[in-house]
Amino acid sequence: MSTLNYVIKRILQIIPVMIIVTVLIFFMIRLIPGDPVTVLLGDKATPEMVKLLTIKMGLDKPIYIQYLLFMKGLLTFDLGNSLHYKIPVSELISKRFVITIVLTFFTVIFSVIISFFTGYTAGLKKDKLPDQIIRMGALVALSMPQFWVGLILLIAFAVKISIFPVGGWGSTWPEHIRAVILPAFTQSLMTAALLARNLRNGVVDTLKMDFVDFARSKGLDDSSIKRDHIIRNALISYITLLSMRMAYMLGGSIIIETVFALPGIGALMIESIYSRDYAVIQAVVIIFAAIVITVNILTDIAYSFLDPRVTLE
Amino acid sequence: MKKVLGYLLIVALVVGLSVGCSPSTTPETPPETDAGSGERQIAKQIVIGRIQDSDDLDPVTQDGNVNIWMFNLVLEGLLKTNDEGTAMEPQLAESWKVSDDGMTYTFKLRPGIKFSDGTAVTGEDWVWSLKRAAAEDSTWRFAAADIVDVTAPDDLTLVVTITEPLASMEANFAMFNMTVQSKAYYDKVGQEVYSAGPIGTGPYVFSEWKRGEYINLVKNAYYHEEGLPKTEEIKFVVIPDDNTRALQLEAGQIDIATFVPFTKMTELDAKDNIVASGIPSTESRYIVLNNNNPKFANQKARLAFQYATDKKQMVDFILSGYGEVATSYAPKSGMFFNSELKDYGFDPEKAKALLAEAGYPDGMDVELLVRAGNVVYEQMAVILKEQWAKSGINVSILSLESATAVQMYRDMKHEITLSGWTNDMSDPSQQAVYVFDIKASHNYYTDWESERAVELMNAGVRELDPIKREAIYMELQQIHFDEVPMIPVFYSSYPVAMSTSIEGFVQTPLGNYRFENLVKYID
Amino acid sequence: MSNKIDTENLNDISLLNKKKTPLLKRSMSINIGVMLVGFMLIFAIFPDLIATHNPTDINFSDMLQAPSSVHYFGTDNYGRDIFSRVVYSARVDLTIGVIATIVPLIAGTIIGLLAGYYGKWIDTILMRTLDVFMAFPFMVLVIAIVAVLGPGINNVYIAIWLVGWKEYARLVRSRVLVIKNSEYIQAAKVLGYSDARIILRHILPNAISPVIVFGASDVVMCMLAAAALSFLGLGVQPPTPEWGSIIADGRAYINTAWWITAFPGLFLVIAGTGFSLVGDGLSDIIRTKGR
Repeated sequence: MSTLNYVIKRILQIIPVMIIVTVLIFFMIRLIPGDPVTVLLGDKATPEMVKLLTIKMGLDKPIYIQYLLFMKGLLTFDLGNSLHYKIPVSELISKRFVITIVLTFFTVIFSVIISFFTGYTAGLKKDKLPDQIIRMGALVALSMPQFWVGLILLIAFAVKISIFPVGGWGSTWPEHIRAVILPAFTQSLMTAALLARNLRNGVVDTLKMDFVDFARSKGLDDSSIKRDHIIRNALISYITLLSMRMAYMLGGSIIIETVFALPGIGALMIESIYSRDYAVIQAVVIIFAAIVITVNILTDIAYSFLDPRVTLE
Repeated sequence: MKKVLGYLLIVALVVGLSVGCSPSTTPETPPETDAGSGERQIAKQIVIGRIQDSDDLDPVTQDGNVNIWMFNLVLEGLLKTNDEGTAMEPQLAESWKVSDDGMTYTFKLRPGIKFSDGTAVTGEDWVWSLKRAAAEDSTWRFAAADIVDVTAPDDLTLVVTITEPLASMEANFAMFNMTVQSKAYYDKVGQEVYSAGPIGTGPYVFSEWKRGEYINLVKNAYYHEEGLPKTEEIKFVVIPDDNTRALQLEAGQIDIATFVPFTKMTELDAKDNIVASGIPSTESRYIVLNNNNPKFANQKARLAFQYATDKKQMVDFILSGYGEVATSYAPKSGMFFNSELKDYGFDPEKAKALLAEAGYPDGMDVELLVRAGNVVYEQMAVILKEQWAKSGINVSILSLESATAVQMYRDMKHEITLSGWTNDMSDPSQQAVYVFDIKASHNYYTDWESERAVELMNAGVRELDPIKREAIYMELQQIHFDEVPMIPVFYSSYPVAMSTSIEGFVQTPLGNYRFENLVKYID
Repeated sequence: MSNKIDTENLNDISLLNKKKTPLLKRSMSINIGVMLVGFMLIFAIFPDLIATHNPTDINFSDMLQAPSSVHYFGTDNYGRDIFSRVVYSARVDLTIGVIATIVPLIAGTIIGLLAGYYGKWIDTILMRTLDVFMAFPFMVLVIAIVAVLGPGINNVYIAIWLVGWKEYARLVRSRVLVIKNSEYIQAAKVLGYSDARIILRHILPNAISPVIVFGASDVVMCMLAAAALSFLGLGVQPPTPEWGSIIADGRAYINTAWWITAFPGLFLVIAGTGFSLVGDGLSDIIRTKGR
């Protein structure tokens, strides 16, 4: 199947997936006990106050009507107003997404840099000292809770020595970059460890496969074998893993954002769940779903280019 | 010649770069001296870190301390409470008279008051503001609910009529929703923008709000007090994580941290550049028993829990001493506090005996519902489990996500839960409604009832003689104390830590911030 | 003698050219891993024999004490013995790690195998279902499920199972896509081997190594997810000890009582390392054995 046909086919498949997603999220969050009105009104809410505000906010309408109104809005790209903050959802989340994207971007950069060099080296020097050290390091990095590592880094590099701010996002772009370094680094440790191990194994596996011998027997020298074949093949599952981690991060790195006081999507999501802000939760999930699905499609296409043995169906 | 120019260019570049790229971990604080009095230099901006962001800054449509406590900074009314929260003082009213039947208040307003956009405050603004607060569908209606009519015969006179003579009316006039706001501004921007902050006559103005991040307030150029407020900008930043907030204070990134975890207070206070204080508050915490449950139907059983609880230990441990043991449901720093009530004390033997009398000689199994994520409640739960075990009470802790837990006890599905209260008003009538009027909150989610208490509650709002009124509230507290539908555990303070360069931080026991004199010295 | 080409041995020809990794070195990591996991298992199975105190005993006179001969790992802010709490946590954490991983691993692998091997509409349906699950950010789903179903470790499992299977499915599927077009699989098909045999004996062993490696680290990640939930106040019910929740609680005292966070952290790392080493060792063995 040609790439174009494949892309069209996938795009068409997005529609039923997204519809299922909207139905699921819409009804799922309303299943959770508690409601936005009670949260807004707080401890001093009398039943009368709750009833009044519920009607005022239109939340007393039958649920399927609310769903239809919501879908109608979606089709016109109107995500509605936040139930908690009263302002348009799009306004609320646009800045948050920027922060999360920047954080994810730097995390990916750190993860790839760290994991590429360590994983590749470890794979080539299998079972020798560099391999042992790198693998140990990766294992240790994997087992440390982010909220702990983040705190230690904060104390070391922001409080004791003031190279970085103690969390927060800052007000100018240079400040933003400075603010995002420690959180991105903290977050990259786990991903880098996973990727390094994945790459190392991919390299080892590929080195063992028959076609390397075949290529050798054809007279190709080791370095070009390395360059062309090993990297390409090891990359396939590396990319799979990377794209999954990226999708995970874009969905909100709630722990990191909490510890480093970064007002990103994760923090917004948690806040919205706690305050039962259905409008925001729905909007973020739907946007996130769209991103993830797109990333998946792109990854699948990337496979086919990296490995001619993989055919798109 | 070219060489010299080249060198000059390089020097200029280096100077330019070094000036432009100076890293700073502290916020911009260019010095500014007070108007020629040779006083100390103060900072232009003060940064305050808090746990949660506001959600709606329109006093009439919102309901939450995160919003309410900000209003004193921007809005002013006829009266205000004093800083100690014990009495009323005139604010924008110069004087007032009450009619003989107690139902008409005539205020003489201070002349020359302007809104922060420079427009003059008119009678129409007052009428509109108060009527809006009193409207049937306004969310926070409490203080304004008894208003019948508001008229302004001229711009300096305001006449308010109420349904019946109320002892709490003066306190009502001091409430944040009875403040004067600019009608023209509301008409111009509409409700949605208005929720981002009204225009008032207070010392500060809401200037910028990035939701979930910060609220910026700037000095009101038209403020009626000369020379105030002292600091030009106040920024409230949102830092949900307790530890990060404390660390930011340590590093000087913020100047004041509110709601510092009690456990960190001593540690922070020990630092040279930080002072941590417990500000007197009206905040109380309670152990709420669901009286519908047969286990708690008998007063003796409920009383057993009083004796099973070591409140002093809780204050020492959870509050690190920044609080006091509670006796009455009413806060110690509120009006008409009954100081005659003496704490039952910690006596596990007595508790066991009472439980036996109530039909539980082998002790009792209970489920304690806790709101997850709240450090104080979580600590209370762990300690109560330990303490009550000594009286034969076996606790299983049910820690639920906050809104889920709230829904559960609002539906009266809990056995025991933990809850709290802060006064919004300095009048005891507000809290009395929640404690004794079962329609409001199931009597604090206990479903306990007392006819006598309801009688007293209704009388208390109307009793104009202060001596008789005090007697009413004393008796109410005594009844509650004897019946023990719930157990007041402690009165906590507002734990605030700030840089030692800060002076003039005022927070009333009701929680309202007053920052006219707040300064940060930078010398 | 049959005319059947012995495909099994054909595959092994490539093995003849391999440098055999010294047996001792290869099994070293798995040995250490097994040792570490075993060490943890002892803690998990016999905590009462090892712990010195009751893990939930509050003792106000002993608060925040440094490690000593009475309290090997010091005490926390409630005066509870950290050593005993860390020991008792082993059972909780190991159980969480294993149970939360096994189900998604098996389910995800099966789904990935089917999707990758059969392709076409099976693949489409399975992968689009995966898309739907992927559309929900992990934390959102977990919190929503825990909020709906209530607290308690069982519901945390359900939440993690529902989100956990997709990584395995994708990993396996991506390997299967590569392997299934290779020569010896084509040969096996031509020879009329059943799908089941091809999948189980030829594809699975080659596709499984990233699964095992990831699974081993997934055990660790599930333990950390439980810790993260504790950090948010949604994890195990207090006062049950769990390494992550002890660390989360100890954060407030990191300047004054470093031992509260250090020791459970250390144990988490040891347990995590152990599992990962075992995972690595297993995947090494499987990789060289089955072809």
